[in-house]
Amino acid sequence: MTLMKKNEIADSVEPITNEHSEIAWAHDTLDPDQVSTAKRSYARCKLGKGITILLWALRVYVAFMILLVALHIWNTLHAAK
Amino acid sequence: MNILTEGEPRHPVPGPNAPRAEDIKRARDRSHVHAHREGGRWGMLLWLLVGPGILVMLGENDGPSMISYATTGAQYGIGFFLPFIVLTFAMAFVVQEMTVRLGAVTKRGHAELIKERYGRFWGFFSMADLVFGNLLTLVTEFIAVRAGLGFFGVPPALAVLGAFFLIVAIVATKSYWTWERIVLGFAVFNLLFVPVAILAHPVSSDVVRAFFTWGPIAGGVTVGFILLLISNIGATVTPWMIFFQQSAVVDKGLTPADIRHGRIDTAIGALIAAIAAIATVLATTPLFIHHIDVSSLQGADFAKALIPYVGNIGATLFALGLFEAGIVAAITISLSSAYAFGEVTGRPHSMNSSFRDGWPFYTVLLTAAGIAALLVLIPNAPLVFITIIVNVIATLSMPPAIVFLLLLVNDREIMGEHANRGWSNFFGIGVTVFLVVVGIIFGIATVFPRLFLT
Repeated sequence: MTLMKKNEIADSVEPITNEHSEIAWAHDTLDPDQVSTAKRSYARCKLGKGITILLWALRVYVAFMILLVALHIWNTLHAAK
Repeated sequence: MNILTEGEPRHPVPGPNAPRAEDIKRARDRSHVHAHREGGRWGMLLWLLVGPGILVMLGENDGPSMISYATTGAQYGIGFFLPFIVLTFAMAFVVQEMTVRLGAVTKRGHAELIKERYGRFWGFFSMADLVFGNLLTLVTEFIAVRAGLGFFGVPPALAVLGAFFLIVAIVATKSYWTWERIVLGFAVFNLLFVPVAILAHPVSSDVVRAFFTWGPIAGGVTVGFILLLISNIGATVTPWMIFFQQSAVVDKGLTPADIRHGRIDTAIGALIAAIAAIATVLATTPLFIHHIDVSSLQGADFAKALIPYVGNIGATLFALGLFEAGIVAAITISLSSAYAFGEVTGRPHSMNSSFRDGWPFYTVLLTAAGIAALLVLIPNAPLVFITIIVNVIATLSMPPAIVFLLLLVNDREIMGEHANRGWSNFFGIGVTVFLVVVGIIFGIATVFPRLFLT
């Protein structure tokens, strides 16, 4: 049997065997929810009315402040000219 | 209690739910942790488990932060700011410790958890916020890289492109462990500011007195003092830190059994970062003593101004430290964008991913870094102005991130016994509310400076 043929046989057999054992070993080693492909979703949690209002108020605040920053940049750049 | 919805069973054979390459690599890393835990080798276990905490704290000691500390030392010398910096890092520890618990218990990144618990809208919103803020912050990191290497006469284009290709090379390892250790190796150089501080010959009795008296405050409490104070606080905890550490904890594979080591990791990071920050203040104190006007200094100019007081060696170390601050932050911040993108879109998001599995993840990471690198090379761009504005925007975008952090860490359905309680909640809420208020004041003071002048 030539070296090339030996390699071809090895390529066709070993990876599958290794893959089986490596996958089983990875499952044993990792916590159940650590395997990226086997994660299960958390149930959806509804935000309370107060929290929703707070989050939106913060969003408005961030948007408003960024507009002010943009205005500040505009004024500074024009003052520099 | 099990609030996990039903999913596919675990498959120990190749199939659609078989582990990806990232899981195999993570399992290898975890097998070392298991072996050393069973062997009772505490020191080795700590060595294996440190990483995210140190990286996030030293990543936050980024270019703009180091310039801010240098300005603090040059304008106020030894006094109030030394103990104040310790306080800010203690606050950072309180916030970041929550992300360790969240990541270790839920095995999900911050953006992923927001999406799963509160819906796609808030998940995508948080991710978009983060990616936008990170892009701006990345620009300032490349500014620091450019300034640091500029001291050695490296042309801006070469400095920035070199930094970008360094990021590409580190990413190409496709291994979280290797990536983490390489970046930790770089991050240690944040301590380059310590020998510079020693070369500046600070008066040790003044340093000790400052920690006991929280003073003096040179010139008293002025508008400039308040702005620098708020700036230092605002730079301590930023949204990217929350997202990065939680995602890194998940990618590293930490579990609830590792939370104690995660806390130690975060505490070590906070300690090293505080030492580097204080050293930077001490290093530039000679500029304060000799009444050098630093208002017009930019980046590497600090290093040049220090030559008469710390010599060429000290100035060289200072410039190298600035480069290190920029490059480590650029690496960690671009990764936090990629993590959040993958988490929200459901694409593979691990530094262990193969290029085939994780191409969107790697594309986002390198695109974010690439765009920032290109922006820095725009001729005549007002780089220092950009740095200031970026800090303002980063501070302004903190409140929503902090609200979600507190919501999640208090969610007993997902956190169980690891949810915030008692004192941890008191400190957590206290620190975050304080940071939110300070952020608002910082924003107002920056946009409407006249309000504080009257």
